[in-house]
Amino acid sequence: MSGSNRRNLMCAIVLFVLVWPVAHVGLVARYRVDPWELFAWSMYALPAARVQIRVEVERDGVTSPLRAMGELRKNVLGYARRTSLLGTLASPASLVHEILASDESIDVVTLVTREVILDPDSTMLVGIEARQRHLRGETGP
Amino acid sequence: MAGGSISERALDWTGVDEPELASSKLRSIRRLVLISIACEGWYVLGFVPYSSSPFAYGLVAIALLGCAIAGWRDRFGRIACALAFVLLCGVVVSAFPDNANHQYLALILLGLLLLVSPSGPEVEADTRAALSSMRWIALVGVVWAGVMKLYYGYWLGGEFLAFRVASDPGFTRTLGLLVPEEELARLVSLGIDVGAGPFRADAPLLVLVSNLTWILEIVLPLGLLWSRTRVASMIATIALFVAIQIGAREMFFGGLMVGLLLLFDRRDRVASALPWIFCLYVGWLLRFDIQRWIGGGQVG
Repeated sequence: MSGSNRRNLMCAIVLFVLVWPVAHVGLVARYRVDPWELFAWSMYALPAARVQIRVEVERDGVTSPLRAMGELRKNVLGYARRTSLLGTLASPASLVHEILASDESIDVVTLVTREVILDPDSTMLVGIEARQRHLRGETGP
Repeated sequence: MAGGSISERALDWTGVDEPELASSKLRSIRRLVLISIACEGWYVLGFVPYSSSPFAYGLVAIALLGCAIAGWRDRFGRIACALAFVLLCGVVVSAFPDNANHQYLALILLGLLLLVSPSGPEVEADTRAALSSMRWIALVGVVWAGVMKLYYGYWLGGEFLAFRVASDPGFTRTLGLLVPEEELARLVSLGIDVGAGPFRADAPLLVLVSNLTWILEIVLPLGLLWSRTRVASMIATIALFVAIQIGAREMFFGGLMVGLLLLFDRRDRVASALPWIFCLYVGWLLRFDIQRWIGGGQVG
């Protein structure tokens, strides 16, 4: 690489640092990515994202909470952590696949996501719930 | 020496150093970056996801320590930066998305260091461009930090600080001093469960500090662009940054950013600050042992 190209690349790096936060704001708005993450200089601009996950499973039309143990529990917590950081960009596919594979009688897996945010108007902590329903056969076994 | 292309001239707006000084500053910032990531390599071993693979990340920490030691010498500086860059890339990818923002910052700085030609006629121009790039990154970073606080709106009424005072003992101890006693007791009693609040504090001093923070973060770094105001602006920006870090306690990010801001000085202040920053890192790594030692065996 020539000297001029090397220095242009340095300038490009600076430009990236300059414009990346604008793209990051878009990621936060579109995918609910945690503003603290991915190098956008917005740490401490607002409380860090906090996401809790509850898993419900359906067998023969009867819904009950999943009592995840051991490795499965670790993976549920891992998915909650990834969702805290990456918002809807965090894929639930492998977790859903694992839950369905753990018990043949499960027909439907519902991931209930609760994001705890500081409401800017009331300044109260509020929970925003979202449900994702995954049917057996849609995402694997 | 006048810069070449438009991009090089734009980089030069943050100042130009004499070749000897520039070379010294680049050496100092290289040492700082390598020491920062080496110390952090050990620090993160106690946290998820690093704690789940202690052997692999332990080996990485040992290798990063080796890079910091070897990279102290100019002779091994480039190879140490290259190895540290590869190791840090591996850490970032394997732990993604559980990465600290200063890991990305360190990767960028290592990339800039590696872009400087090791020898030949281009060394001087490359060194100058790399240092200017680092100065720009520091400036842009501090301004963006202020703009983001304004954009998300949690600093205008002091809501963010009130929330942190209520939920983070580090903030309670420091910024809690700006909150009247009764209001502080109310905030601390709120908890952090859904339904807790309101986190709008009846504390005019806290709201003042909250607004001054984002305003100064946007305004102070702009003085770094003019040679007349550069040093004063650098001192004020570092003071603001250190004040923020008293509450935030982001030691490794703080060390890197202070080092980058010191590049605006007319002398190689990074070299002078390096022992202090290193002591700060070591103190942070050993803080629980130090607390235990001071407290006669008990950690508060």
